[in-house]
Amino acid sequence: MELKGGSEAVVLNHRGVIAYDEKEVRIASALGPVSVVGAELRIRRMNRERIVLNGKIRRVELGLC
Amino acid sequence: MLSFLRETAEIEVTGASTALCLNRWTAADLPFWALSIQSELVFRCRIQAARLGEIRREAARAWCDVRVIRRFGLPVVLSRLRSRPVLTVGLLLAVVLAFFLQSFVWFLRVEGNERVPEEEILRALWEEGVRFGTWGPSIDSEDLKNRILNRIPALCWLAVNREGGVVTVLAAEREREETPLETEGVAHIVAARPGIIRKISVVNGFADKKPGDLVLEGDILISGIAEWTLRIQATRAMGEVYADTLRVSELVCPVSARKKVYTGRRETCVTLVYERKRRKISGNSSIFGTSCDRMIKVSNWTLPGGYELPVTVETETLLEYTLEPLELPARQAETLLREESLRLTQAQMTAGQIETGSAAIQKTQDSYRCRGVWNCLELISKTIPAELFGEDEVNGKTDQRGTD
Repeated sequence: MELKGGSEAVVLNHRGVIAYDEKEVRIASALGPVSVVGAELRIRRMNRERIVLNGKIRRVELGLC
Repeated sequence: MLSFLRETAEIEVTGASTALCLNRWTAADLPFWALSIQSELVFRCRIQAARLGEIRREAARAWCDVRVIRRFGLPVVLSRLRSRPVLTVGLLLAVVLAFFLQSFVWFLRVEGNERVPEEEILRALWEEGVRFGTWGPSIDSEDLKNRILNRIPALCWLAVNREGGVVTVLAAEREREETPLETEGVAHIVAARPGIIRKISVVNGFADKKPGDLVLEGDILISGIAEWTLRIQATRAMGEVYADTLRVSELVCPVSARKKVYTGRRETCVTLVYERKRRKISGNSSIFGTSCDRMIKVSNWTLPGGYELPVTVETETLLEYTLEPLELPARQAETLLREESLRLTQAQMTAGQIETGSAAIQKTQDSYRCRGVWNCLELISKTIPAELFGEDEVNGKTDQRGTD
């Protein structure tokens, strides 16, 4: 996972989106669910290798939430 | 840019499991981007329009509906243009002309000239074949420069630059050689006209006259040469001499003249001038013959940015008049002639003023004659070169008294 400042997050080798809205995007990964929490979150791009998120990222949580 | 070249569609997806829909698209390698969440069950995004069918199928497997909101991109623009053939052809023609037309000369500019008129340089260019509509690549800048410099000797350097349809001529003029004031050599100051000296100021040299002396034209006032017992001193005389002089002027004017009286009739003629060709648009310029005043106003057609086209519009306004006899009253004639006599006398003096005098007016059968006699205080000094030795001395014929 790459974080660029507080405005962009790139998640590599994901296993799909579990749920998403403007405040939280939960992504399935090999390490378990990854939650990106913030405001005005948007999925900018998504393909098999990566998901690119934009918005005001406040925190990233790993594991079951 | 790439997404503009390919047709792109903006879609709206509605369903209970929108995240599943995204995962299915990802698994099927269906690209999507610019996703924006509208609500819990609705999101919008952009996709490649060519893959809309697959997108719909995968979305259906995730129990989601897909609705196309709009399509855009170059293919959409082209399909719209197909229904407007004239616009399409016009656009293509405009693009072609924009590239092609740059090869011709449309505007000429001259920069750097101060004393040489711009019209002279433009006329020289015209005669050398560089004008509105000339094929640009045919202009040989170096050769043209040499030919223009031959035509206009006042220029010492020229550069001709062509940028698109604009030809800019940069010119540099030769510097004018100023004639330097002569400050060397032996010289006298002599009287330019006769008078009685009132004031003599000597800066250099030897005063030959004093205030109160009557001098004639050519008399030496300040000498540059002084002979002493055993030596001769020579210098350049400098100074000013003011004297009382007498100036006489004679003027004549006719008793009767003719005065213009406008009839009120007017005519306006408009002519279009393209380079040297003229085409009358309206009006008749010979309607009044020669009994009219002509006022011509010329206006250039200019594009925004100051680019002048070689087209001018001449608007000629004709005002008809008739000539009626007018007799000049004696008083008016006297005033006119007197003022003119004073003005003429003042103009003839190098420096100075008219102090007193009078003008006598005499009327004959067909004219008024004025004789002005003016007492002036004026500068009468002028500098002339002096010969140090006379011709006899140069030829060896010196005074023999001492040897006898």
